[in-house]
Amino acid sequence: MRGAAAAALALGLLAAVPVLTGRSAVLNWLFLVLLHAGIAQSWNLLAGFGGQVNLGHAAFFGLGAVVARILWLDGAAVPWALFAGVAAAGAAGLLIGAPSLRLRGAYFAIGTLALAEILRITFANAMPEVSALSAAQLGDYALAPRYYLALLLAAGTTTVAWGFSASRFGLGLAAIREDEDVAAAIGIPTFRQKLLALLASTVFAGLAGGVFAYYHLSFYPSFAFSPIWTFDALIITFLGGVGTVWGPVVGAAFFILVREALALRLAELHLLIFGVLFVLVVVAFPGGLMQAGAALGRRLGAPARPAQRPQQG
Amino acid sequence: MNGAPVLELRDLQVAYGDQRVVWGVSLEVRDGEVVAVIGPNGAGKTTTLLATAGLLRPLAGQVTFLGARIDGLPPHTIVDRGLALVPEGRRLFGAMTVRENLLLGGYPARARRDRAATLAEVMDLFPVLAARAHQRAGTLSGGEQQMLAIGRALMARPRLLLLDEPSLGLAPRLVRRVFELVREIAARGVTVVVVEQNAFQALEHADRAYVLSGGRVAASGPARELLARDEIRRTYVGL
Repeated sequence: MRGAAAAALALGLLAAVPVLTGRSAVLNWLFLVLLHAGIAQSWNLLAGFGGQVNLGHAAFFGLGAVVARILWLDGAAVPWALFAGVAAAGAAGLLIGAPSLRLRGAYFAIGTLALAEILRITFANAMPEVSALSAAQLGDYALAPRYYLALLLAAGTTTVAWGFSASRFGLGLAAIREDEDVAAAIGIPTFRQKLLALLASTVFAGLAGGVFAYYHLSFYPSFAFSPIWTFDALIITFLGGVGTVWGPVVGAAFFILVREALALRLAELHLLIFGVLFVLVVVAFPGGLMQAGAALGRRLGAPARPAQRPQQG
Repeated sequence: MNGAPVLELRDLQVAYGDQRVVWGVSLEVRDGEVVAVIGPNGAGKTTTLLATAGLLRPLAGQVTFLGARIDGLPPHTIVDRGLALVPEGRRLFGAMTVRENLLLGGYPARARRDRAATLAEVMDLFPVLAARAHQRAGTLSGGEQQMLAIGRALMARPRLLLLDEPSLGLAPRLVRRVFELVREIAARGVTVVVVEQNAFQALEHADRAYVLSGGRVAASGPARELLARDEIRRTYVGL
C-alpha cells in the first residue's frame, strides 16, 4: 500500500507541473523522461518479465510514430491518429511474434531486429522528406498536452508492469523466463503468454511512437525506426533494473539527466559513456539502480524493504 | 489393479531431428497402477515420456489418454486434461520460493478452482515443504527438491503422474523414501508411471514394468516377476 500511495503522490505531482511552471525547459525535460520511461517500460514488459529479448523495438515505435504522424497531419483527430498507430504497432507485433515466438533460441531476437531494419530502410526510401508541421499547426502548438500524453504513457506502461508483477499471468511469464521447457511441461500456455506480453509491449511502443510524433516539430520518418530507440530502451531498463516495476522509470530519469548533461559538452561521446556505464552496471549490479539503491539502503542501516521474509530451517 | 486404461501408447516412434530414438513402443497403464519403465541409458525412456507429455512430437504412433488421442496436442492442453510430468533433474524455478513453485504447478484451468485445497493436500503429503514455504527453491536439499518437483506436478490435480528419474542424485535412504511416497500418491488415486535407472527400487515398488532397450520394449510384466527373472536381474538390475 505504501508503494501505491507513493506512486499516486508522484503522479499527482507530475500532473501538477504544467500548472505550477510555465518554463518549457522543465516541461521538455520531464517530457523526455516520461517518453523514455514509457518506451523502456514497454520493452521491459516482454523482455524483463518474460525473458524474450526484442532487438527491434524501434519497429513498433516507428510504426506508431509514422502512422500517427501521417493521419494527424492529414487532419485526423489526435486520439484517432494515436489509436491507428497503436493498432499498426500491435498488428506488426502479432505478425512477427506468431511465427517466431513458437521457436526457441534467437529467432525472435533476430526476427525483430530484421523487421526494424527493413522498416527503417523502406521508410528512408519511400518517405525521404522531412515531416514538418504546417504554419497553422505551429501556431497552435502547446507543450502541456504533449506532456500529459507522455505522462499517460509512462503511467499506463508502469501500471501494466505492476499488474504483471502481482498476477498469475506475470508469475507464468516469470516461469517462462526462468525455464521455458518446464513452464510448458507444468501446463503454462507458453506461446499464448509470450504473444500476449508481446502485444502489450508493442502496443505501448506504438503509443510511445505516437507521442513522439505528436511532440516533434519535424523529423525524418526513418529516424523513428532508428536502432537508437531499441537500444535506449534496453540500456535504460538495464540501468534501472530489468524485470522490475520501477526500474525503467528510475533508469529513464537517470539516463536523460546524464545524457542531457553530457550532450551539452561532449556531443556524441555520451554514447560511449553509456556503453561503459551499461557494462559496469551489468557486472556490478545486475539488478540495476533498483538493486544498487536497496543495497545502499541496507548499508546505511535503513530498512529499504519491510522486514525480510523469515528464513526457516 | 485392473481398472480402466488410463494411458495407452501404440507403436510410438520419436526422433530428435533425424536421430530416431524410439522405434515403436507400445504400452498400457491402467487406473490406480504404478508402472515402472526401466532400461539402460539411451534406451528411449525419457524420450517416450516427453513425447507422451507433448513436449516432443512423435514421428508416428498414437498416445491415448483417458480414451482420447493426445499426440500432437500442446503440452499445456495435455496437463489440463490431467497428465502431469515431473521432469528429470527436478528443474525447479530456483529463484522463486517453494510456495511460488507450487502455485505455478496449479496454473492449469482444471486445478485453479481448488488450488487452496490442493496446496493444503500437497503440504500434508510433504510437511517439509510447508516448513520451507517461503524459502527459495534453489536452497533446498536434493531430496527436498525432488519432493517439491513432485508436489508442483500434483498441484495440477493430475489423474496420471509421469516421473522421470526421481532417484537421480539422491542418497539410497532418500530413494527409498521417494518410492514410498510414490506408493502413497497412488493410494490417493493418482496413477503413476515412473521412469528409472535404479531398476531394483523401481521394480520393488511398482505393480508392473516395461523394460526398454534400443528404443523398443524388450520385456514387460508384473514387476515382481521381472525382478525374479535372471536375465533381467543380470542385465538391468545389476544383482
